[in-house]
Amino acid sequence: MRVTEGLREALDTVRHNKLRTALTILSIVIGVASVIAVMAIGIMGRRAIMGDLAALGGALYWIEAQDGGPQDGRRDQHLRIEHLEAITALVADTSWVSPILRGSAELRFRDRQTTASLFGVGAEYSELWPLQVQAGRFLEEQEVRQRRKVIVLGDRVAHTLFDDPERAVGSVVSAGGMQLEVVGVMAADFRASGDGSDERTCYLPHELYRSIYPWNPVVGPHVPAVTLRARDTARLGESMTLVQRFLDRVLPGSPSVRPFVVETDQARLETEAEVLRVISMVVTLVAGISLLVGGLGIMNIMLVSVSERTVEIGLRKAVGARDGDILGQFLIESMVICLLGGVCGVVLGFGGTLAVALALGWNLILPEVAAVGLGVAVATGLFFGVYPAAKAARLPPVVALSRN
Amino acid sequence: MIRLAGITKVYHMGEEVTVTALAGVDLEIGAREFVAVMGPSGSGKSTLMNIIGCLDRPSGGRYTLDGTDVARMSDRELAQVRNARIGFIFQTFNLLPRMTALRNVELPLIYAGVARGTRHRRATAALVRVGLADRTRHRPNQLSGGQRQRVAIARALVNNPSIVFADEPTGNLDTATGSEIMDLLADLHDAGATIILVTHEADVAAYAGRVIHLRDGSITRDEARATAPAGS
Repeated sequence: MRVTEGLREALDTVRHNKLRTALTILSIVIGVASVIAVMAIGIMGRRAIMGDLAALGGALYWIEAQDGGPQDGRRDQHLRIEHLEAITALVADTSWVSPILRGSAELRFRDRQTTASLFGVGAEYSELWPLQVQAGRFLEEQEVRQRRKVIVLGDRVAHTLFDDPERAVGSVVSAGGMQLEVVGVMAADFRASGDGSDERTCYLPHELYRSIYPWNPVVGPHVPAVTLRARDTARLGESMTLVQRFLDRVLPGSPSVRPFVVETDQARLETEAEVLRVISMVVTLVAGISLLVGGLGIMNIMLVSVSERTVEIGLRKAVGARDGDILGQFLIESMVICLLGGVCGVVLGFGGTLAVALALGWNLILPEVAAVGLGVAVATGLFFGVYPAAKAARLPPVVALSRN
Repeated sequence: MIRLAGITKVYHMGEEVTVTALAGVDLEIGAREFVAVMGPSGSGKSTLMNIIGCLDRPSGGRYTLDGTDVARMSDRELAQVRNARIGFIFQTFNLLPRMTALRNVELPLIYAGVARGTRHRRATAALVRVGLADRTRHRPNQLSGGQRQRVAIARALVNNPSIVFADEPTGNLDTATGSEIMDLLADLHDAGATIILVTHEADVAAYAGRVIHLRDGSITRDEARATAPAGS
């Protein structure tokens, strides 16, 4: 019998056994929804976390100034570029990526103004994080060295001041009385965890930044925060300890408060990855059990169906159905039932995934996962449908007909 | 066309218990015969029909159909024989309840791989032939017993089989409807089909040109008679 006829028969049977079918597919629905959820959340989460972890290869860490760290009056207690050079010489595995100076300022353009968080960074910063600009470009090394008066705006800031980010590039904004030329606008969906940036973050050369930092009374090249990179992730802890010891020695501060601490996001990211892995395992288990239960349910209902339709099978054989025709008919039926469950499961699974994706700001992935979900459903129908279908196909026609 | 030699059928009902349904049957049925097989319950007449109709295989003996040894045919080949050369009519009609009359009649054509349009046309023609032109869209539970059996007859003849088996075709019908059904079978016979009829009613058997009596798995009598049906 051709597949189209088989499908027609299967849909007919499903239509006549709506309640039974609905009850049977419940476990398949849960199973497929779990498969969808575990795959989508797993893939999206791994992308989010691994994207952070593997930004440049190797692990990132920071030297951060503690609250009330270096006393204002004591210039000798500030972290300086020379210190960073000493650190990279001392800890072979570590390279100095970019100093970060942070603050906030009112940015003005004509009659508009908005509060922006300012990051004073080096040009390498754009390689450090997956920064993307939607217009113009990021800072260049020469601009940083020459203290050029340029700025890269955050998406929100550009919208507030200019409406259209494209128009921002080339315009001049004022910050703390200084005129800065806009060279680029960050991408709207840009996210970098760990450096504390958001859509209001604007970047300018760190050398320039010092001269407009409104509440910084210190003159001289000091560095409140710096990003470092350990090339070998496995030796991150070791490198961090070395750097902390160096800082404690050269910048001891007061006995009670360390002026500078060495921190990393690595542990948090790895914990997140581990949590994600455990969640994935649990959901996979749920998916597996649901599909097993669902599959056994399908098998059971198909066996009932075969025994209810024994006479039908005999009659079909009497009028010329081959064993293969009967086998195909019941296999298609169990696959169609499971496919129905699969479709419901995909819808349900995507509902959950969408909620998670919206909550965590992940990019939603759809088609591949849906295909896998439906594939799993059909495969379940096929696997658990084989035994009942084979049983039906093997029925001798005369035995089947004599049942009435 | 049908030649049985020493056909036996033995059922094993658990250990050491065997039931002999057919105890060595020799029988020849030629093309275009109308044969009635008679006998009391348990005489083996249904078993004989199942074997001749290729629904079951004999335990022993030799069955040749149109010169081919049936014992050598695979299940697949037997299915094809049933599909193309044999039509079945049952006492209980055996229509598929969820399908319309038309689709029930189409069933053998589906298994024969006939294309949809041709299938519709031939099934409709078969229903017209049994007088159900206005019932093609009805389901079995919307039809009377006689109409259901007509649908079954349409299904049996839709593939133009050379042999039609009817197992107690009037068993579930009243006398008037039964004779209508028998007239249809007689028409089929006149149109060139071989009819093999299993019955235990003498007035039904009277339609046949030859009556074979069966008792305890053996043929006890094989009589030819004038083909004038008693009822017409």
